[in-house]
Amino acid sequence: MVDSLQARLIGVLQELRRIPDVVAVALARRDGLLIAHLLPKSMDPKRIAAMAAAIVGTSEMAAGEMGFGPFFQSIVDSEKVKMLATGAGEEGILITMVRTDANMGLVLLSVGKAVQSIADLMETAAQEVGT
Amino acid sequence: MGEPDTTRVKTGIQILDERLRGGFPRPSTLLLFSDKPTEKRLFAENFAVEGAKTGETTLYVDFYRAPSLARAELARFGKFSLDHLVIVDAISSQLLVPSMEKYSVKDIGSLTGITDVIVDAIEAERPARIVIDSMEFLSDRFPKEAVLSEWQRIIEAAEATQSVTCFLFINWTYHERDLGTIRAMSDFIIEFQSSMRGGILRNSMRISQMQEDGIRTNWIPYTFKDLVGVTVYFPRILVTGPFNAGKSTVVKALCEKSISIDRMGTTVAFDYGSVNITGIEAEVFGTPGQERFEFIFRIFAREVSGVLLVVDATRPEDFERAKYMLELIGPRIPYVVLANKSDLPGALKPDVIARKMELPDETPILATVATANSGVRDALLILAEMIIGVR
Amino acid sequence: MTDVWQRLEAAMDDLAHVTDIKAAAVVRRDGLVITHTLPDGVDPRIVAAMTAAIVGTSEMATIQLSQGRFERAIIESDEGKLLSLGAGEEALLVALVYKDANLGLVLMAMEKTARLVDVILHQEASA
Repeated sequence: MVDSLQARLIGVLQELRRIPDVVAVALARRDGLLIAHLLPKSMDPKRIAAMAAAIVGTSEMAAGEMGFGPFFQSIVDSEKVKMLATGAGEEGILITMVRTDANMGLVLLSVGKAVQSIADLMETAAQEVGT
Repeated sequence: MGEPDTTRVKTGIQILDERLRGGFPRPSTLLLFSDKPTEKRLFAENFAVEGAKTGETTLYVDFYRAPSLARAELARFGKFSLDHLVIVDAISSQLLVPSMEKYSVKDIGSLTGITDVIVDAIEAERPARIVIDSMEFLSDRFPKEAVLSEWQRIIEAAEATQSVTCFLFINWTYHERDLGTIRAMSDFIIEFQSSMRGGILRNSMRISQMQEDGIRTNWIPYTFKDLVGVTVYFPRILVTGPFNAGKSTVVKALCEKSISIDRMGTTVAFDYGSVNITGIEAEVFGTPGQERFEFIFRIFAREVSGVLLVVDATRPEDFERAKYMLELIGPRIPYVVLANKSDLPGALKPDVIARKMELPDETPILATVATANSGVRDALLILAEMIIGVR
Repeated sequence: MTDVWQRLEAAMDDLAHVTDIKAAAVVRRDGLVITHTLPDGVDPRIVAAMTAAIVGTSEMATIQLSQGRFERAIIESDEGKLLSLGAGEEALLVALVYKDANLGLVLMAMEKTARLVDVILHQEASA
């Protein structure tokens, strides 16, 4: 059961990575644990997962404190890459690295789709396990 | 509560007054000393207003401000009856305008004339507290020997009326020997310093009693709160420890309002709240316990006033990790250990934990039950005393 | 030393004049407030701590990714965005902007202010 969920989640990640401007992707749990990833060897997936969880958790609190409505996405800009972190269902965080000069319209659309698929997959899996 | 103690005068800073066993004894000579003018004046003003608030007579000798301005500025420290504050006007004669005050210096060029007015006011008003703001006005204008002699004269007049006198002084010109003389004339020396750290101004003070076995505090960080006055202030109390020890619960127990960034039962960023304990303001910060969030430490552990190290008393296997976290903080930061969940079966006693963790002998360790808010405030109070240096 | 605040406050005032910026703050990198123009009802200390967490973590993530220098973090919500970036070694600059803000203009103004804050704090440190 779990294996097939894992396989399907990786499938979603792979589809996202096929977008030309997407460099790498990972899926973390909101408490900072790694679920799945397609990151190059140079990036430590566990650390990225924890950091994304810290950023998203804090951002959600910040959005609430500021009265700006629900948090949607965080973007960390660095010289060569943008790191997006987006909530995926109640328990997931999708991490997407894109090239700085990416076509953000297409990227965001694809991220949106991926997040939805992940949320659905994890929701179904949770129901099957009876949690 | 009982009769107010009239043999001592309070600073209004609870933790200091406790250490002073009620306040400065009457009579006492206090030397307020700093490199820059502003910090010590704040303490002196706070001290003056504290007296007026409690109905004591305070005599304020002001060489720098018009009495009306002084009164307006003192109002920031809280409400008090103006009747209890007697100002010796030493500015009007400098500005060549007539004074409206009962006591005023007529000839600013005569040192003994100035002291005469001060002594007259002391003898007539018999104040509990006296502030001389400040002595360097005299040391800038008159020969050193004469100033020291008149200084002594004021002390003697104040002793006769059992007053507690604050002499404000900046050292720019006197040699060490003369400073030694002035210190020897004083019962308590309160030093002030301030520094700018990364855009934030930090003020601190240190109290030393001249007598050999007298009190000596550490540098005490303080801030000024409108209508409250000088307040001891800890910018960051870190609450840390291994995963699931109860850190977030400790923060919630201490602070009336706190936030916690946590997911699925674990802190993923931090907890934050503020607390006022016996008049001390402290900002409290909880860190995550999971190893994967250790980077949070490096972000927040820069200016830590003190640490509450929370361990689960039922999990000795986590003590190693707790010790490691102490190492992350560094050696010079005071800390108190909370043996939390001490209500659970299998909870080890504090002395057992202290031994297992090989804690230094004097390390305070308390049994706590954070979920019941038991022992947590006590731990913070002990930490506060360690930071201030009254323990 | 009071001069530092006057200059910082002046810099913040200028930033507040950028139409799309609702409020802003200069905070120390370890999460303490330096100065701010946040509205009442928003606790500046909480904003400072959260900004420090977001930027500090983002910088470490950027190092982890080996993708050059960290530039900024943008938190997007339904009704607005939170932008944060470094302002020298000691400080961070954070701004709350409205939903349809012209980010290009805002970021330009923020980067200018950040450089100014850096200069002000540097001069204070070496004074």
